[in-house]
Amino acid sequence: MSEQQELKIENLHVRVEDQEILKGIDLTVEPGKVHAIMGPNGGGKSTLAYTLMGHPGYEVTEGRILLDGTDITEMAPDERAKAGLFLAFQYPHSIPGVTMANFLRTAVNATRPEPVSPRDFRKTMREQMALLKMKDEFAGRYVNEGFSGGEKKRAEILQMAMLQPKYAVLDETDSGLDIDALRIVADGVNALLGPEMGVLVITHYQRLLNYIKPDYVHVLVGGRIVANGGPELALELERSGYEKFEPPSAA
Amino acid sequence: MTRQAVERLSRQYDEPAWLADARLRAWQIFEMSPMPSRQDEEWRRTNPGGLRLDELVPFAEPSGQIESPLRLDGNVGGLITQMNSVTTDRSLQDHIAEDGVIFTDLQTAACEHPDLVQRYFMTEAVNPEIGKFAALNAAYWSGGTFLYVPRGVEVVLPLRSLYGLTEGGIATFGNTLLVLEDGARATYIEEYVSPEVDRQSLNAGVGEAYVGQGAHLTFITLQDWAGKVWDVSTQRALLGRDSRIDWLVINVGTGTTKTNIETGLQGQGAFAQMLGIIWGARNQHSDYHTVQDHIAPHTTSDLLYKSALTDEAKSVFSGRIRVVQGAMGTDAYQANRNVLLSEKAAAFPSPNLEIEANEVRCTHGATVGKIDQDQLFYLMSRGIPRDMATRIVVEGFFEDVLQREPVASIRDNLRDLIGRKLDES
Ligand SMILES: Nc1ncnc2c1ncn2[C@@H]1O[C@H](COP(=O)(O)OP(=O)(O)OP(=O)(O)O)[C@@H](O)[C@H]1O
Ligand SMILES: [Mg+2]
Repeated sequence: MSEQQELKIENLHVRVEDQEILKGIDLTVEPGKVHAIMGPNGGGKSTLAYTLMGHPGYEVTEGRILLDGTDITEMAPDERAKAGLFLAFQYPHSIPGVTMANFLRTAVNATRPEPVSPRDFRKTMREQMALLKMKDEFAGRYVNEGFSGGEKKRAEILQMAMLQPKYAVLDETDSGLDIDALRIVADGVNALLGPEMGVLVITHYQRLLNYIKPDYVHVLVGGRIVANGGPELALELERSGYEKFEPPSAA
Repeated sequence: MTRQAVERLSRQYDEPAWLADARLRAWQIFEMSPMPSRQDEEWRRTNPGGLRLDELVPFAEPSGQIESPLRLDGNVGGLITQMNSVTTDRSLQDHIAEDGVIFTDLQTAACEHPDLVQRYFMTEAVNPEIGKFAALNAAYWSGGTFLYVPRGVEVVLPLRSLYGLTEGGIATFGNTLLVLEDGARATYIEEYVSPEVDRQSLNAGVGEAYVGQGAHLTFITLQDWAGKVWDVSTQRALLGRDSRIDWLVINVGTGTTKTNIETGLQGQGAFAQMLGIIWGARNQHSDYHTVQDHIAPHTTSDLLYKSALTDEAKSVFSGRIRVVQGAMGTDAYQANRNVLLSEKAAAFPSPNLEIEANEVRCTHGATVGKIDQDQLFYLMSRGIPRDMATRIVVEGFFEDVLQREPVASIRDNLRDLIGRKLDES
């Protein structure tokens, strides 16, 4: 078996509630690289993100997903996380009654061979929260409960910082952020970037890509990747939109 | 179970005449009242036919071992232990006794403090007339718990009772009588527990609480019975003027439970907080009927019962709010929340409001929902395995009850207990 260090998506077909949404996606994310996926609403970006993470509602009918050579297509979400995959949700779920601190500590311990000491955990959490300009009291709040849109996105990045995944998928982490928050979140992501981590950034806006510089840009329309390019492709899309990529309408 | 057995009981314990008479009167009521059936509104969702009363014997010697489900330890003001309705151990710290506090088993109290016990015992709060099982209890009870806190005395350390049932084929009759005089304060925690038993057993319990003017009782009552144990009980608290009860009912183990939990807000300004935590696994069936009875004006009751159910467990909740004519300025709140972790688990909430007064604020709401798959996915996406994710969601579900004031002293113990139960399932 190949021990290729990469997140490799091969000919991925995905069905949701009897409808084929992804119609053959091929994409490879290497450590140290940033890939951006852009595309119109409903194109299948979140479907790809959920499928990578193993959401039970998304059925892979063809193709496979390899993480550093291991086929993770049938793995449970927690096993994928342990293998080093992370998804920052477009719409993070709230968990009433469970504090951020407890949640984070459980997650950190679940993804490591050895549990961290409560002291080390608290120290790291505080540091990371400070970097994301999150107030200490956040640690005591219930997961995403009553968080503003921007707070939820910061909390996603906080989780990423604590879990230190090898491959991270960020699904519209920029939406709902004001200019300052966008910079803080982008700084947070950039601080984690390095030769060890590969990132797949899903976004509608060139703006985010000014902060998180992509190596590659892909355009996802109608469940297919219809164009690949470098950062210049994002600029082009900003000018001309997706019209030329849209499949001819049924009408 | 016979009249002779009741008489034997009184003789054996050398009881005062009033008590022996009371037992016989209760026995008569028991004999005359029909066995409840599914046709009775109260028993609509719990089939009394499943209980084989005629196969149970009303006594058993203490045997086996029991342990506090909450793993509570020595830091208490007093502790009474009973097994199969026989008192095996009792203690009360000297400094509390010196304040005039009485905390002993009810039988001893009936002999040593006959006036006090006779005045309260199964007269007003719960009396044998209310139903067949209360009558049976009044005829056969032994052991029991009596707490008396004199006027203005505050008992800081909690007082505990541990009621154990360790045999199959027996009936026990737990009986708790709590009396707080005006301005008194106390916390009382009782736990009902059994190891696995080979045949059906029953606890037919009675609990009574009198909370005097301005007094404050924290009452925690917990059930951790084995799967073959039935529990048919009634507990009722009567609240005096400006008094308060914080009442937490916990059920983490039972075969079938059919229990009434009732507060009568008799004095103006009285306040009742009623909380419930029910965890059901396997084929546990728990049926709680609660009553928030607003008798005096400007009284407040706030009820929150939550249950989480897995396997084929069932939870029935019927919550009654009654506001009598003249009880204006009443605030009554009732909420029942149920989360189901399996296809076959089920919950049946039904609120029932009888409001005869004006200027009343009253809200009620009930929900039944499956555990949220998106929440589980979210937790799992962070590396948390499914069973641990389930446990986290369920613990989170109960957390708002755990955060309420009366729970503070046992919060961590209760969290651990719920965690253990979830792990076992
Ligand atoms: N759980 C689901 N049930 C039904 N349809 C779904 C489900 N998830 C996705 N879809 C459908 O799949 C298509 C792709 O949706 P997806 O959320 O992946 O788009 P997206 O590219 O992320 O869009 P956006 O930019 O608006 O976030 C849409 O037509 C959507 O309605
Ligand atoms: Mg999306």
